[in-house]
Amino acid sequence: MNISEHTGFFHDGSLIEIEHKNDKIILSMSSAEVDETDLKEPIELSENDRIAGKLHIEGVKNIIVDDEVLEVTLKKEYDNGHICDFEIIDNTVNLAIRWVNYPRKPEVDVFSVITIEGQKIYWENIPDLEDGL
Amino acid sequence: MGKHSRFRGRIIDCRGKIKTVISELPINPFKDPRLEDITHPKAKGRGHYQFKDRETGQIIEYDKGRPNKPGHGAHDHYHRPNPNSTGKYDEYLDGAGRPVPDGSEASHLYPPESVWWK
Repeated sequence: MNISEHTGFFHDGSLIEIEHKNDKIILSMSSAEVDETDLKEPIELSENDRIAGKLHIEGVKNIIVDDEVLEVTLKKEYDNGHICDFEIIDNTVNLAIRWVNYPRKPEVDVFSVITIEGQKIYWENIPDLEDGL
Repeated sequence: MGKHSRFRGRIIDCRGKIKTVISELPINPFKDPRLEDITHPKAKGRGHYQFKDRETGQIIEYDKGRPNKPGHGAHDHYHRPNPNSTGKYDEYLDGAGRPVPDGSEASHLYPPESVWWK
């Protein structure tokens, strides 16, 4: 499946985990609940009607976080990443994330815009992804 | 937060999709004097806003819809974060104030004016 055709379903979804090693990044993600009638192609959904799985970005050339080039390992520093925007254009992943800690008191006020450019991007669909809701 | 008598319920729009409607939600939060815009500067311009009720302190999130997006992403909608959440499974409140998971259908809320049906 071509995940770039389905990124719109990830608005209000979750960035569950980030694994960054050398020139490879794996983002574990789940979408918001999906109405199957909105899908352009059959996709096996999680038990709770979400697209869940891992986005593999290989041959990472460039990582930009909030307009600054990231020279260190990309990490998830909060309990959850609430996905506001997600799109893939050619070989570039664009994410806008509102970070959340639990409990939400005090409210975390961190919002990140992340751009990752790689040589190869593909989706591993994992309907039973741990913590994918 | 609204000029209507209180109403909370679920309706089916013209596409047959269920939407949760709360009459207190304003159709335009930017013009509601009871709301303070506390949106993160980086989220402004991307269509993702947060407002704080000046009286109750309750926070609501407001996402501008984009016509080319599927599902709720195509429509202006609200979320009510659960101030007592312990994780993703109870991160938001539904129309009746019950905890619901992040990204769930029930976490997407609409003012009555923004939902149309035939």
